[in-house]
Amino acid sequence: MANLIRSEWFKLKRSRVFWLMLGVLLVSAVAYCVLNYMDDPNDGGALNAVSGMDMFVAGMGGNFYIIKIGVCILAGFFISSEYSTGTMKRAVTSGNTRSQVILAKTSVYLAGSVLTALLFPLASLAAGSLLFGIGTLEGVSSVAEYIVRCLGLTITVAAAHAAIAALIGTLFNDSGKTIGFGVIFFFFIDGVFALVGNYVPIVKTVYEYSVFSQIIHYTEPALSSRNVLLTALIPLATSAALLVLCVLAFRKKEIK
Amino acid sequence: MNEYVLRTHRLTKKYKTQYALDNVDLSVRQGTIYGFIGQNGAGKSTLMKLVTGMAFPTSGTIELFGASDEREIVRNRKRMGVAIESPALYPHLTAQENLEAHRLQRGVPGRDCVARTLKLVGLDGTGRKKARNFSLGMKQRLSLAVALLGDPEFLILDEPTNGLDPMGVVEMRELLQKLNRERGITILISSHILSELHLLATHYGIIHRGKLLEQLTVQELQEKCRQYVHIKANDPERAAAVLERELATTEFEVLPDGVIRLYSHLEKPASVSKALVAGGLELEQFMPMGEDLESYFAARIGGGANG
Repeated sequence: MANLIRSEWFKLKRSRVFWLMLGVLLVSAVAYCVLNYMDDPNDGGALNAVSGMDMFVAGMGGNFYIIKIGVCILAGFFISSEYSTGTMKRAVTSGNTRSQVILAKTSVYLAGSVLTALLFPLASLAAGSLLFGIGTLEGVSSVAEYIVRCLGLTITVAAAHAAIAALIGTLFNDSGKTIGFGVIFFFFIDGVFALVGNYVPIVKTVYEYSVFSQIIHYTEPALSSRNVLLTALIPLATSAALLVLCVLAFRKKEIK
Repeated sequence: MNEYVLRTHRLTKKYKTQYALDNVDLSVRQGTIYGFIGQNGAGKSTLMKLVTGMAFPTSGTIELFGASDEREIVRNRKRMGVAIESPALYPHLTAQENLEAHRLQRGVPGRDCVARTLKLVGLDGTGRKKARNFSLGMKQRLSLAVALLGDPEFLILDEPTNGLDPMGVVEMRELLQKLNRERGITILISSHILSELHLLATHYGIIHRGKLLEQLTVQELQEKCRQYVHIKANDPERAAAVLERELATTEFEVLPDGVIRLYSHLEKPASVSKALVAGGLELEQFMPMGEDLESYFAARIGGGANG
């Protein structure tokens, strides 16, 4: 298993798509901070961030899209593409069990997804603090505590979304299909829950306790301790369940 | 030590209503080069996929290095090298990086084996060139290099000469023969180029429409390939009459182009030519010949072979 993880990590480190995503996010975060710094609200400018914390909050807000799109792109290129290039054949004939093969792959993929999800808010915070100073945030007594909480929950929420995308990537044999289906799924799932929830109340309750709802609310400064705990545990449970489904699906899958 | 590296017993694979493999009993002895022959869709790749764990049998059993328990089979796959269908490579990685990724995956100790294996297949000078920019022949070599990582005891190769130029085909054959001779690697190989397979394999299996028709050694094949005397005379009808009358044989056939194939008197061709010339015939062609693997295969499956 350790060999497989090393091999997957080796491949992730050489994935151009992974580095391209990280590069685009880093440049975007820094550019956004610089634009905020140069823009003067008193002179008709629309950007009004005045501290590193403002930039961090803005970065966390944008991360909603980065997580949903980023996990799909990475799932397409890191998992599904192995079917189309035929390299998944090599993996299953390598003398490791199928469970080991897919667990190693999804574990490294989850790590890559989490790194991607953390980069934009972290880079926004760092660049914003350099330009403006870290500053404070209204309604937050301890800035450090808020940052740690947000980043911690970003890890769990991103991991859960990545686990869902990993299942999609395991089922599809083509990176394009994985990305297309994944993006559509993540952007329409809220609407589907809302629509069905109007007729079936339990669905509404399920949605409120799902990662799809949590990704919208987890950066709120006024999150109660109970909700923080739920936002940590529910994504972890979701990730575990989805990884089990990935293993089951891959064990039954015939490699073309 | 097991006499057989691979044995299948009544191995069957069914897709909906169609049998891709139908009760196949195949045996590959240790140290042999087993040429697997069949038309497109005959079931060659399907059998290889079942053995390598890419697909699952509908029924029947597989015995790999003497083990038929699923866990043991998975473990024993570490002793195999596989290259099935198109070369399975990471296109954005160099040849060296491709091998390194697979070396880590298989848990092969020592990075020096990467350079050694690249040299073995003649790809040691490819440097920073990405696999996506390789020619098909280079991809085939790299695919073989991946299969050879970790010194496997058993190689499964599906059409490994696809895309190779004539020199590449010869080099590939010589490399496989060397691996078999010097390292004792058992090889299961399928190829469309039957004449090439004829020069390489020590054992053959002929598969047609999912059924294994026959397994035979190269010696058995040589015995079975019919030998004959190829005769082209100026008057085929008269030549046939002479053969019947003077040599008292009916073991011949007259082909539409007038060529006569004589299956008797193979030990005494001089007496045949003497009788024909004495009968007033002019011989344009006269030579002993025999069927090759291609024509034997075509005859065995009862039609023209296309692969």
